[in-house]
Amino acid sequence: MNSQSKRHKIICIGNSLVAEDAMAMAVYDLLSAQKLPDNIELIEGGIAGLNLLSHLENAGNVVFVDTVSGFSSPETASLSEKHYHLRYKNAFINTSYDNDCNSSGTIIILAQNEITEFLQDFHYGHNSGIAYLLSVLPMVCEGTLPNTVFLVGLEGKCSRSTIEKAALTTLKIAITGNCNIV
Amino acid sequence: MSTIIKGINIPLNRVEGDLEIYVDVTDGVITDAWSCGTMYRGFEDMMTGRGVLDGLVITPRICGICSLSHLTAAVKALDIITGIVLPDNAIFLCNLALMAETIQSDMRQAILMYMVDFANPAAYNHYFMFEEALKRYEPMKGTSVQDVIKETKRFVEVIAIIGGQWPHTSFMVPGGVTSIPEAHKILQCRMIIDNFRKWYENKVLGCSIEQWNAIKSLNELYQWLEESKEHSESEVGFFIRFAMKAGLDTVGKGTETFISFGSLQMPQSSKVTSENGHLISPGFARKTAVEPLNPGEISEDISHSWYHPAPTGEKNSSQTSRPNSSYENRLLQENDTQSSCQVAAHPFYGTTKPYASGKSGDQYSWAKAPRYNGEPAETGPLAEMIVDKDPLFHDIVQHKGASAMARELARMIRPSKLLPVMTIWCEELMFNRKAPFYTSMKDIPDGQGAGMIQAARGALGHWVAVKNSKITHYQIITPTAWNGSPRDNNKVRGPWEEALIDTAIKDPDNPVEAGHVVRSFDPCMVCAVHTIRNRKK
Repeated sequence: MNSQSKRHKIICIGNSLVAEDAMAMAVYDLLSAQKLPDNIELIEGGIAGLNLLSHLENAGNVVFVDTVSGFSSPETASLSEKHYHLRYKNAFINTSYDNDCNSSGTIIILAQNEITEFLQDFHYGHNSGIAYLLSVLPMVCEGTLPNTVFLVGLEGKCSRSTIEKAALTTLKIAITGNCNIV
Repeated sequence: MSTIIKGINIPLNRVEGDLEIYVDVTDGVITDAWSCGTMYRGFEDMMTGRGVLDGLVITPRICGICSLSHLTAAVKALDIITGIVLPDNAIFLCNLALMAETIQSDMRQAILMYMVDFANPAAYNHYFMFEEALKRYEPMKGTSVQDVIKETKRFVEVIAIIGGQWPHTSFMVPGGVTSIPEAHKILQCRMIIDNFRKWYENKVLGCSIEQWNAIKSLNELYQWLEESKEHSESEVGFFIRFAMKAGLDTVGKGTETFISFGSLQMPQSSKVTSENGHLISPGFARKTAVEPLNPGEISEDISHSWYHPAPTGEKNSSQTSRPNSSYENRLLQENDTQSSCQVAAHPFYGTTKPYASGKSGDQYSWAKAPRYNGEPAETGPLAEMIVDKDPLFHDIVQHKGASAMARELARMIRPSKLLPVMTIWCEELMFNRKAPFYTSMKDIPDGQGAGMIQAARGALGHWVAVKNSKITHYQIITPTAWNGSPRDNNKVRGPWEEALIDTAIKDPDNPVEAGHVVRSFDPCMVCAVHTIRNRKK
């Protein structure tokens, strides 16, 4: 399978029944209402954990969309600003404001190596998430590994415009495999 | 002088959802325990007032681990309300998918979540089997860890093929299923099942399924273990040897009452037969004395849970009054007060209204306390073996009692009961592929139905009432609600609270023994928020 015939995957993780975990599912709903390019597959990943492995094998670009926390400001990360930007060199931080200038969510982008750095417990559990999935993938992959893996993270209560921006960002990254274009 | 440590919090990471367990330890032995569900989610209340089919979309999203089980229970409740007869092909497809979900869960739990603790260096590095345990079960790196992830990853493709997508398939509907796979896809399922069976026999059992199922007693199990290196070095063989060395056959007895709702309805025409219409039998057992299941005896006690009691006599709007269950009558006689009925209600009549004043003394959990005829009951693979009158597990429980080891062994060998039937049903489905897979129906009439099945972790029930095509009542009791139940009105502990009693803890800072006991139930509290959290300091 050559890289041009591989399908790119957008995998939205979360639970639409749980408010704190529903942002990515809002992105899923938005994208599923659109006509996506033929080589893009949109997946409602839910909270399926390890059951998403087969979606990653032989994939082109993979973009996860999920709720994150603790990224929305350097102060929250407790790092110096310079260190923060060096640390997350691919992170794109955007805080969009609605008409009343109220904060309405933040979009963070993490590359694969940055995601797996957050794996604190190497034990598998029912609650194992993307970090575990990506850490174990190289050891159990029976096809080819994805070309690229990114996470579009959503933090805070996201407004409609933030969700739309996240959806557009996700699509661009999935198509190009490059987060710098955003 | 006794050393008493009160309120040790047993760390239970690897549990889906929010669960805390506190124990009192006297002279290194657990003397009391409290199991606390720490979060209220309100899924049942979400359902009331919604369209009758909404449960099929919402309830599978309660949990990512058992989404198919919830879908099965939700559909079954509606099938009961309609009284519809499912065509055999629908039964084959639903059963095959549910069996696949169960088997992959069993294998992942056993290797990735249970036996991983055998590689706990602080607890076991002095064991002669520790190095082998580390080689097999070290997180991420263990040979068995990587093996089981690969094999179960392939195996769940059966669900994707049958359901059309994975995760979150919605192929089950009242009346049957939405479609039937093409012949080559059914053949693909058959190959996946066959390949998985080869791995299971080779690596997990170390013998054929037929040889394993010929073991009928504890003595025969010991003989099997000694018979060959293939047996003793298989995952099951290694588990038995390590577990006995660690004393897991002597801890975790629990209540020794067992409940199974039964599961896997038999098709009308199949080589596989059953006396009670299910492959997995429904029933209740005290030790090994098995009796038929009476669903009317199920209740949820909230005396130690943060919920408003339902007033006596309250009925949902599609109900007429019903007689009290024998448990409720007993409560009335013992306490001679109407209000006694308020703390325990059958799920058709109970409500889920959270109430936590901050001043409650007895209440300590967001989980209710399911009871059968007023008794706690554990559920899961061991309960299924006992209710099914499996001779090996009857002999184990008779001679040694229930234990953490018996529970986990039952989980590891449950696929040996299911895989051969999967092959037969796959073949019968292929042969009958042109037959119907859906019975047409117009509307869901008013009524109530209980979708009671066995999920991977045990008894799962959805109690549903419908009026004018709207849901008027929805109560769910999950397997972990049974197993992780708090105390009841009689202050009787729930199953794993009881199972923890008399467990010796060598090191309170590393209470791995308590973890073995609770993890033998495969706890899963529904449902957590999964996020990547930046906690860097």
